[in-house]
Amino acid sequence: MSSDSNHMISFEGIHKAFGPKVVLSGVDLAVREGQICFIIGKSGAGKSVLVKHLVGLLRPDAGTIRYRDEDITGYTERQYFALRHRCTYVFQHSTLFDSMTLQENVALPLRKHRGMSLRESADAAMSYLEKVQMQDMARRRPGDVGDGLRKRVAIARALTMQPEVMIFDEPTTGLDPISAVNVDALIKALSDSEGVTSLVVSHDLRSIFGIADRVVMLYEGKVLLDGTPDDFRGSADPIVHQFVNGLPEGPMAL
Amino acid sequence: MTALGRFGGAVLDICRVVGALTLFCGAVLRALLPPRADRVETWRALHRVGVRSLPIVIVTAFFAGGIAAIQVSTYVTKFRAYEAVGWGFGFVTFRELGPLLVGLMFSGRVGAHNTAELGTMKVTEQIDALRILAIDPVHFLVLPRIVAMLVMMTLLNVIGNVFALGGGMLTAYAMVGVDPFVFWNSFTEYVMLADFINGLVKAAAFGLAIGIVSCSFGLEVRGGAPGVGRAVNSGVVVSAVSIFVLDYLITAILQ
Repeated sequence: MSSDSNHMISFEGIHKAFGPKVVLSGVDLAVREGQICFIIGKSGAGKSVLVKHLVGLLRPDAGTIRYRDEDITGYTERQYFALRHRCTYVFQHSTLFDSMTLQENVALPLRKHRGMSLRESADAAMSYLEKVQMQDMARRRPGDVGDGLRKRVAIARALTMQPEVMIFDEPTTGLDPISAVNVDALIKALSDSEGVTSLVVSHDLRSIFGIADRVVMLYEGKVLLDGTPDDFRGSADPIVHQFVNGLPEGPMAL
Repeated sequence: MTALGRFGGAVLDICRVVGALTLFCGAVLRALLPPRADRVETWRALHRVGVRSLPIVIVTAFFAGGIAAIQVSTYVTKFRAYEAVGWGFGFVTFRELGPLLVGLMFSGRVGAHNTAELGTMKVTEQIDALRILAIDPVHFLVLPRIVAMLVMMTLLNVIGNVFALGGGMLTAYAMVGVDPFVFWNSFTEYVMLADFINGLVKAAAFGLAIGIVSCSFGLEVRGGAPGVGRAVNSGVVVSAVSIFVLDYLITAILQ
């Protein structure tokens, strides 16, 4: 795949193996600015592995990754620090810092990167917590709140970086339906109001059909399907059909 | 596996640990040019390390002083050299016993906690989360902890010396009947500033070693919760070995 100036992010021929286990074997994917792109596939398909390459948490064995046409494949950790101000990642398990309150978690990047004092960053953190309706729990610690609330705080913390790309790793997994809808609404609002490009790793069909602009399905280390949610729903491919309908029997090995 | 194989495996393990520690020291040194330790985290670490260790250091130092006094008293009684008890106690405690025992306690208490905390952060992806927030874990987590351990180990050694002196004086009086005034005179007359500084240098070196080893093992954790347990265990052992090796070297150099 050649790089295209309309594409904000592109993965070209990405290969990645962990020991003998090949996870990605030539993935090509390009994402346009402002898109909400869902990356789906069965567990172990390499969805998280793929997106972690974009922010330098993993390095590919082969292939090229471009960000706004710049080849970032060989970036050093220091160069990635600069990129991570523009492109951030919300982990599946939130990864809030246990030793800090929710407010301190959100305030940390503000203090480190915007030159704010402790008090200023704490005040500013409250406005980010308000965006995710978590201001009333600011003084609690991550261990004192549930998964859904932690995920909202993790999103608030990521927003402090004022990113242009956000990667969400299974943002609604394990959440109750109401919390899941709230998280989806937040991702959609970020795209609509702030033009944030979102890469969402998910299994959640309700989210996919609710907010996705585009769906990319990984299977056996390659892109099996790349299209709109309607393409995904109407696909005649037996593997996609099995996945969409959650069928235990079919060509996709469990 | 043959004995030779086991020996080779052990040598490789030692090389791996030494190599990892050397690389880690390189990363810490790079982070010092210029120093970029997070100020808030450094204050927190100083408070945490100091407060957490103070009770155990006081107890250890008090009894270390007492032990030194008992050992010295054996010869003091034998040769009826009561005026030497303060000197013998001070020499042994300030130069050797105090920093060594406090260092070992510090390693078991603070070092182990540090390895466990960083290791848990590693396996729960909190270290990666810091990187994603464009915050260098060495600047944010490692430097504050190393600074705290270096400073607090030195300060705690000074505090420990005071309590060791109390323990030694009390024990010498209770067990050998050495008047505290005689003990104090002997101590102030014969124990030199060099003895005190010798102990401080050792304490600082031990604090630095415990900081580096505990942080390195914490950040190298692999394999979930069992990996954290293994890292804590190995970290305490390597810290203890480092303390003895440094003690040997500093004693030889400052003799």
